[in-house]
Parts: sequence; structure tokens; C-alpha cells
Amino acid sequence: MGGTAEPVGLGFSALVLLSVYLLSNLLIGFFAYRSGETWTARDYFLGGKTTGAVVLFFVMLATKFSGNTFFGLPGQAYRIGLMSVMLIPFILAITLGLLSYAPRLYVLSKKYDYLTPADFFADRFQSRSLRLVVACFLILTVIPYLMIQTTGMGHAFVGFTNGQYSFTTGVVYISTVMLGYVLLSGWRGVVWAEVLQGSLLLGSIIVAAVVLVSAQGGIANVIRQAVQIAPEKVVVTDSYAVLTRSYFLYALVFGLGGSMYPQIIQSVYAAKTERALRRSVAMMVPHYFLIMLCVVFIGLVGIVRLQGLETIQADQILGHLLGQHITHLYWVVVLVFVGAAAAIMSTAAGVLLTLSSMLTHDVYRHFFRPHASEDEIAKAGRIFTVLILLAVMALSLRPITTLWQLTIIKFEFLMQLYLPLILGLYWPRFSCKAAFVGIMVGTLGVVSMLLSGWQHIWIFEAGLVGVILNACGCIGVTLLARPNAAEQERVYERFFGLFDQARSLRSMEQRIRPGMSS
Amino acid sequence: MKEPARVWIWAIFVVLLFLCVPYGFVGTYEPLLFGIPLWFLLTLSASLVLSGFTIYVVLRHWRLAPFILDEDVVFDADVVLDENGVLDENGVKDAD
Repeated sequence: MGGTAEPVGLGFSALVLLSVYLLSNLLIGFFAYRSGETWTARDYFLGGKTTGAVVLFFVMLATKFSGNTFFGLPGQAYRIGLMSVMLIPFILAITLGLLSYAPRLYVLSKKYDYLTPADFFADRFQSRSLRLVVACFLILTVIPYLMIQTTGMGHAFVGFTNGQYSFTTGVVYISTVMLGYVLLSGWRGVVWAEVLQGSLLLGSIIVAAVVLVSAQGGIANVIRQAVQIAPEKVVVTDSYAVLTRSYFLYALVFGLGGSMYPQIIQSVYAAKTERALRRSVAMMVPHYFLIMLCVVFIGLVGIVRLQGLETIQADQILGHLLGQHITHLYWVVVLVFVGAAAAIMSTAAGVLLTLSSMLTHDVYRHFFRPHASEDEIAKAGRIFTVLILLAVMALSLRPITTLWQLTIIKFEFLMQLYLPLILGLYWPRFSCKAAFVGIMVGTLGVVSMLLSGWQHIWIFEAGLVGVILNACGCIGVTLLARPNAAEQERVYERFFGLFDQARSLRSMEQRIRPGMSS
Repeated sequence: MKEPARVWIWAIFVVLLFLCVPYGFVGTYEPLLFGIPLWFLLTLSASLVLSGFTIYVVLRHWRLAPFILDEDVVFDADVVLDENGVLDENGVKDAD
């Protein structure tokens, strides 16, 4: 029953197909460049905020599903077994996090033309310092995410070619092409390419799961075999505290952390209309479900076919499993290979552009060149794109931990921005000082726990301990130090007055009647 | 105007997330249904309901921009009136 770990050895033809795929990305980038009439920072970073529902859906898909879908997540499913089915509610929780802030943030981003996540914080709290803190915070926490992608590029080559091509070759080859189309056409090129990449991702992960599960005799058989071979991996955790901490409350870690990716926030900004945004979110949900189900089954097949893989080896489980079918399903394996490369590239390109937008807009423009022209900002954006990618490539050439751990570390920090964002959107009295204190206290809490080696306190993981401290800071300071009357009036008129006015309208008729009569 | 920020909506989300966790099967994988652990099927079903409810909230309880932004009034205004020239109860005809 159990097989040996025989990695895939793809031939020259597979690399030709990969090269064709990479070239098609460059072509898409070229056509996207030709389609742009102007290349202001707003066009380069957000495509002029005219992204429709279907493309936006692929943007969100690409943001959430990356190289991790082919490596880290199946590895995690292999390690924890059938309990990995909880990855489905975890990933759905990200949509819930988005749903909690997107309606208001979308409206404000359109009305006040926000470009980066820090724009909202700077506007809501009238603070340049908070802009800098939020931007640096997001840049530092998202860089590991880009590292995950570049590391994934290396894994793809090593795992699928059995060492014929080195980790470094994979990183450099795919990164160079990606850099080409990001520099050429910014957001438009990235999101158009994401339509192709997202389709490949979806197709390949579904095909991989179907092929592997069918070879084992179907879903029910895979689970039955897992029950017989490794019963410890189909048993529910034997502690209510662990179930609560690592599964129920962990959905919060995913929901709060995952929804705070800056590129997800920017996809809210980039939507053409609210309706487009709603539809893209609605389309995302069933795809989240389907993809995670595929990941769970790939992990289960791994449990049945491969035993005793070490932690980092488990991240390459998909490559090992496909290696067992290479002789009779060569082109299916190649499709999965290209799908993995597409998933990695789509996420990496989006994150790269987001990082570049934050460095350029939040740091360079607001702190060094406040009177810079749009042309200069767009040029600076391209330079920062190159510098960021070079730095991350250098860092990712020495993988230091499993892909799963990198994901978690990132979530624990990202979630510290959630409360200041939500309270800023829903609580008029919430002040700048409170936001500062909340972010600082929460982050210090997480850092202290990670440095001290404490994984959790009672049922709370480090990230949630940080959020609790964060909440105490935010609420405590707001209650103790009320903002002055002028600030309260400004906040009401600019933000909450809009929502109160909208709520007071009994129907749209009251809103459009004056326009219609004129 | 409709916002998903309602207590009943989030209470249902929390309950559904809670139901996804196999609290009733701690430390075991039995009973089996056709060789598949029942807890796995229940968790999968709860996740499916959670997905469905999320889509429902997104499509039916999120209407903010048409009440505030002019650009969206333009987009929605052409479908605001039905064939009799009458507005629906929210003033926005649902095009989803």
C-alpha cells in the first residue's frame, strides 16, 4: 500500500511548455501596457480602479491561493491528517474578515481616492506617523509572504525535477519573467495575467486531486485506507482545550490575519463598482471550499501512499505523489507543474506590486518627495519593485523554516491591524492615540510570546493574545482620552456623517430625485 | 442601505464556525458511516452551510455605495425603476 517517495523527473518538453506559459505572461503584460492610456501611480498600482467582477475574483483567488496551495497546505494536511478538513472553515473565515470591513472601506476609498491601506489610517486619524507605522508594519509582515512564493518557485523545480534543476534556478527563472510584466504594465498586467494563472491554478489542483484520489479507488476508499493505515491521523484531537485553541479560535487567526493582506485591501479599492466587488467575493467562496477540499484529499492520499516524511519533506508531498504516476500520466503531471508555477507567480506578482505601492506612495512620496509628479512616482514604483524582488530572492535562497510556519508568523502580526481598522470604521470616538497604543501593545505581545517560546496562553495562540492586548489598548485609551471636539466633528463630517445620512434615506428615491429633476 | 454589520448575521457566523469543530467526537474517529468518520462528514456539511450563508449575506445584505457615491447611483440608477417606474423597498433593484 505505502509507496516510496519517488519525486518527479520531468523532461525537456515540460520546461518548453513552462517557457511557453511564461512567455504568454509577458505577452499579456505587453497588451496590458498597450491598453493603458495614462500611467499615473493610480493606474500603475490599481489599474485606475476599474477592475470588474470576474477579474477581481481572480485577483482574490491569486492572493489567497499561491505556491502554498501546492506545497505548504498539502504538507500540513499530510501532517495533521483528516483534521485538516478544518482548513475549509479557516479559509472561509478570511471572507468573513473581509466582509466585516469591505462595505465601508470600499465607499471611503472611492470617495477619498485611497491608494494603499495606510491611506485610510492617515485620513481617518490625521496622522503621518500612523501612516508610516502601518506601512512599515505591512511591508515587514508581507515580505515573508513574498518569500513563501519565491521559496515555492525553488521547491517547484527541485520537487518536480528531482534535482535536475536547482532551487536557485527556479527562483531566478520565474522571478525574472514575473518582474518583466510587473514592470511593464503594473496592476493591469498583473491582474490580466492572474486570469490565466488563476484558471491554471484551479484546473491543476482539481486535476491533481482527482487523479490521485481516483488512483486510490475514490474518496471513500482513500478515507477508509487512511483509517486502516494511520488511525492516529483520522482521530479527532483528544482535548477540548486543543480543539478550541487550535481549531475554533484558530479560525479567528485566519479570519483576522488573512483579511488584512494589503493586496486584499487594495483589491477592494480597485473594484470598479460595489456590485463588482460583491460578485467577486460571492464567486470566491465556493472556490475556496473546492480548492481546500482538494488540498485535504491530496494530504490524505499522501498519508496512504507515503509514510514518515520529515517536516520540510512533507511540503513536497504533491511532487512525490505525482512522481508515482509520471510514466502513464506525464502531461497531467506537467499541467500540475505549470499550475503550481502559475499560482506562485500570480501571488508573488500581486504582493510585489503591493509592496512597491506602499514603499513608493506611503514612504517615498509622503516623507521624501511630497511634490513629486505622477510620472516620477510611477518610475519610483518600478525601481522599488526591482529592489524588493532582489532583496526577497536573496533571503529566500536559504529556507529556514517550513512554509506553514512562515504563513502563521505572518498572520499573527497582520491581525494586529484588524482592530484599529474596524474600530476606525465603526466607532466615531476611536482616536489616533488609541490606534497607536493598540497596534504597539498587540505587536509587543506577539513578539514577546514568540521570543519567549510560548506557543499559547491557555486556549489563546500568540496572535490572539496580541489581539486581546490590542483590544484593551484600543478601547482603554479611547475611553480614557476622548478626542477634542474639533477632531470629533471632522471625523463625523468626513466619515460617519456619510453613513448616517445614507441610513436616514428611506429609499433611493430620496437620493436620486434631485438629480433626476435637474 | 444594507450593511452586513448586524448582530444576528455575525451570531450565525459564530454558531456555524462552532459547528464546524468536531466537539462531539473528541479522541475518537468513530462512528463510521460507509467507512468514513461521521465527524468528518458533519464538519464538511457545516462548512458547506457556512459557505452558503456567506454568499447569501454578501449578495443580499450589502448595499451601501448606491446611497453615498454618485458613480454607483449612475450604475444602479438605470435599474432602479421597474417597468412601472416604481422603486423597490430599498430604492435599488437587485441586479444580482
